Amino acid sequence: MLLVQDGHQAHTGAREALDEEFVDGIIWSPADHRPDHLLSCSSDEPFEDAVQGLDPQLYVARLSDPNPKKLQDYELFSVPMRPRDLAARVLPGLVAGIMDYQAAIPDLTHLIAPTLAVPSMADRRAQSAADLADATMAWKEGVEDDRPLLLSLALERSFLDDGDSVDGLLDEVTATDPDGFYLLFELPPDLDRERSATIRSRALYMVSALAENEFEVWVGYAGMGAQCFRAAGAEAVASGWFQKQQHWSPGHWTGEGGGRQPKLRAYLASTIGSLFLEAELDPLRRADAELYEEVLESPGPLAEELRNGRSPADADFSRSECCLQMFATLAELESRNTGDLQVDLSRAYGDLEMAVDLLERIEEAVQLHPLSGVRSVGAWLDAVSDVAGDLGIAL
Amino acid sequence: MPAPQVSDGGVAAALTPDLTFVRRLGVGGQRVVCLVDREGEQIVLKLMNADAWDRAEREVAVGQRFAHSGLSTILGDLIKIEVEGISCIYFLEEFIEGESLEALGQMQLCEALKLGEELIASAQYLYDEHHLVHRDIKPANIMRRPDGHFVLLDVGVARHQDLDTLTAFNAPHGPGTPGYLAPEQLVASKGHDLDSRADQFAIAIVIFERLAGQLPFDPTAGSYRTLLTTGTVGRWDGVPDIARPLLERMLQPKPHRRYRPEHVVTAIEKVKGEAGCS
Repeated sequence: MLLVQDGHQAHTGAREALDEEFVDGIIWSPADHRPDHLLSCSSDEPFEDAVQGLDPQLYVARLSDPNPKKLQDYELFSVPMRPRDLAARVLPGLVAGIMDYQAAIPDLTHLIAPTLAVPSMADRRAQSAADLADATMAWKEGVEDDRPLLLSLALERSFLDDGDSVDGLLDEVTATDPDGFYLLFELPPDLDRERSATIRSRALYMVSALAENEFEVWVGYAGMGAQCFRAAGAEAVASGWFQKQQHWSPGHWTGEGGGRQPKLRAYLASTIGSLFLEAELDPLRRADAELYEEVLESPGPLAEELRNGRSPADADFSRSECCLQMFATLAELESRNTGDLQVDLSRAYGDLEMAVDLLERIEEAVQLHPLSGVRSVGAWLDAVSDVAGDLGIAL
Repeated sequence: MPAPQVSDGGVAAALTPDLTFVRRLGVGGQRVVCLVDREGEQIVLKLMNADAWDRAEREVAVGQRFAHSGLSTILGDLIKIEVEGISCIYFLEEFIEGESLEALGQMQLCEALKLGEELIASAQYLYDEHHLVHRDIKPANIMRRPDGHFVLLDVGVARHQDLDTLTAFNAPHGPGTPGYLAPEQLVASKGHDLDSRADQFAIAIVIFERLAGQLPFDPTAGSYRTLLTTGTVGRWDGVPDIARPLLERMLQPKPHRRYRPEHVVTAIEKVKGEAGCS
């Protein structure tokens, strides 16, 4: 199941992607909507019949210098939040407020628990996150609501650096009994390949272990790792076109935000990632026409137009075209899943191998931009190999 | 603390008039276990050094409340008694007629799966209703009643999830018996990180041993710890192929890769169905 990760002031291309049936639903970002707007959207076409969840985004509240955007309008919690705001005596009320808000939105198909970003098991936020999960489970027991409850885990990169912490957390959460989990992993795109692969393989391992325990697993901000998470057993993955919807990080929720307009880029199944239209695709077209044609052997409306002769230097590309191209690409990768762990991991590995080979040939022809969305493909390849080894699966 | 060094005659002489000493059943760890008669009914008497009061009191408080056919129930309170000048304590427990699993040989698949299913039910009852992890499931603590049903005995070293541990062990592992330990028992000597999946692991070993005639992880091997923590089973000879995936999952070294407690019975039933067990 493929979902839109809402965000970036609600400019997500979600409506178009749902209309085209590239995606199955959306995870709302309250920080990017006024409350009345979010409510009207959730009950509006085409969302009313879609899978819908709402990320409570409580993790924003305990960051230093948090940027809540519109979160305060909901009056569910204060931003910033002090440690005493999470004390045992006030926690049930805090959780009840957040969960009652979701429960009152009839079009949400799933309920998502609040959590904090956790840097390590030793950090006090790990205990607060566990208390939040317990309080949410207790809230669910006290209400009559048949919708699945997903407990949230938001794990920072430093947490994923420690394999023992990952194992310990899994031992704990698999002893609980929610319907599923909503997972957020900080997987920065700019680490060296080995470290990048290590933390990605641990994220994949978590997904696989939870799925093996028959939990419904959603991975938010999945970016180009979406197909890997699906192959590892995730029931749903969520992505968005903007950089901050590709990759979850506490750093995205600090400071005043703002910033530049994103560069236009084409998401392509052949590269399992995005290439910048003018900065990468156009030089490639001029340098190696045959390779350019090969790169464009991808589904999606933008790829088709480029194959039909539209220039990647065309100034008229729109963000919505790029969004739709991304969802079409993810939908194509999604459609290759069979639900069989061995088959899907092997297929993902094969796809990534081909993408790595293609990218090596592209890099011989043009220089890839440092922010190119294909930088992590090699790390994903290694991560899939590593997790398959951990699970005793021969690729 | 060791079991009290007392003679059968000393025990018989120290008992109150309503109890008649029948015979000694054995000496296990910290206690002498005897069969006694109370008004025509045979029951078990477990005798310990008085120093074991705190732990025994907790065991009695829990064991009195057992209401499960797969567990033996403790009868009455913890009693102080002096035997041959030694300060002791004892409690009485339901006597389970039948045979110890220790005395039984290998089993056919369906019988071994039935054993596993019933042990899981008992262990899960302990965990769900009393927050206990048994920690010492092994053939010596399992009886087969004449009607063919199995009973799990001796919660003496069970770990209470909500209470501080009272078990002080100098062994390199926490309470339990090498050969039947879950990997987490090697490191969680104070028991804080155990849950019912440690018992699931031990039950899988018991099933394996009934089928294969040998333990999956040889406790006498120098590499025992490594074999256990890596999940390296020596030989699967004797384990029917149909049961292997079930046992492989139950014997995973990491608890989160074993079955969730509520799923393991379903998994056993599935294999029973595939094997044509009634």
